[in-house]
Amino acid sequence: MARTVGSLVTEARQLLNDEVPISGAPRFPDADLVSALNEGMLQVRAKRPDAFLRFGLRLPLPVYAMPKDKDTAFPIEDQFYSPLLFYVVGRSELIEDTFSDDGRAVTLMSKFTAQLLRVSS
Amino acid sequence: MSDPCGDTGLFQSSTDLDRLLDNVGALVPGLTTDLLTMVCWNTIEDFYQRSTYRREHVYWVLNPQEVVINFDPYDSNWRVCRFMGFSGLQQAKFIPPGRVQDTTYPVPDNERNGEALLALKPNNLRVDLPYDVWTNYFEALMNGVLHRLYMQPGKPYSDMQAAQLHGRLYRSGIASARAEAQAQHVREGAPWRFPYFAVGGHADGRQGL
Repeated sequence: MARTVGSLVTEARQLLNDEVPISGAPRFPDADLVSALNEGMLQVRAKRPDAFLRFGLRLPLPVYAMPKDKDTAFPIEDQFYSPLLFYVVGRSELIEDTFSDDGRAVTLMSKFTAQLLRVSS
Repeated sequence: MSDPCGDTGLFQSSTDLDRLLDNVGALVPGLTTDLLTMVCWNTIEDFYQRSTYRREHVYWVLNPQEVVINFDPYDSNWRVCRFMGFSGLQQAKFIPPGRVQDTTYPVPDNERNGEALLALKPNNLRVDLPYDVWTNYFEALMNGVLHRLYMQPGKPYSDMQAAQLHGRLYRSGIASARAEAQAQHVREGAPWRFPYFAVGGHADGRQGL
């Protein structure tokens, strides 16, 4: 399966156990998840600028939206897919509601940083 | 069943840039291809600048009333990085990287000629470097790339100790390349001798103290 913005959102939704029910809305709308992805891209840009050499380091980052960018190819090297997936899930879990899991959020956000900056992560 | 060890295609891809990219890429975790490519280019350019490995001896002619000779770019792939030697003008002003101006006043109305020894460097990563660089100095280039990568802060592969080691090996490779270029690529061709003064010789030919 090709890695796309849409596939990352789908996988995040699976980890969040938030697949769209037959009736009713999911807990996290696509807009929220893709917004977390955009935020995660900023974090990657700050921690690993080398990931954005292809974009040009003095240019603004692309901002993705759903469903427009559902099939847009994952914009940076594949090695950043997994950290960003963890970021999106962790960032989503930070939301203050009955079902959120702070411990899981902290773990995933830490894993995101560790995967970007360390070999043993 | 095929012998996996016989599949040398994996390990001897080519004697060009791919080999360098593959070797470094296989060693350094978390490295992006774009950064690797950028650092390879930085290293190759630096290698040529510091070692002056490619030197070209050229003969030049300056027509009457002309005062500027421009050796740069040397051709579509190579640029001048410095003058290693120059002769033929009494009053010359050198304008890096490859321009010489005759500052004689009034402007001479005769033809002038002479020779120059130029150090060249490739002008981009797509330039095919000669086989001897890729084979004799492959380790030096690889050490240069690893030195630059390990030296970077805040990366999964940051490692100052390794950076220093590879830096030393890289500089040693450059020194070797420079010596080879100075010897005009002839090793052991002419015995190297200490300068006369270094063996205790005196101006009057007397040896020792």
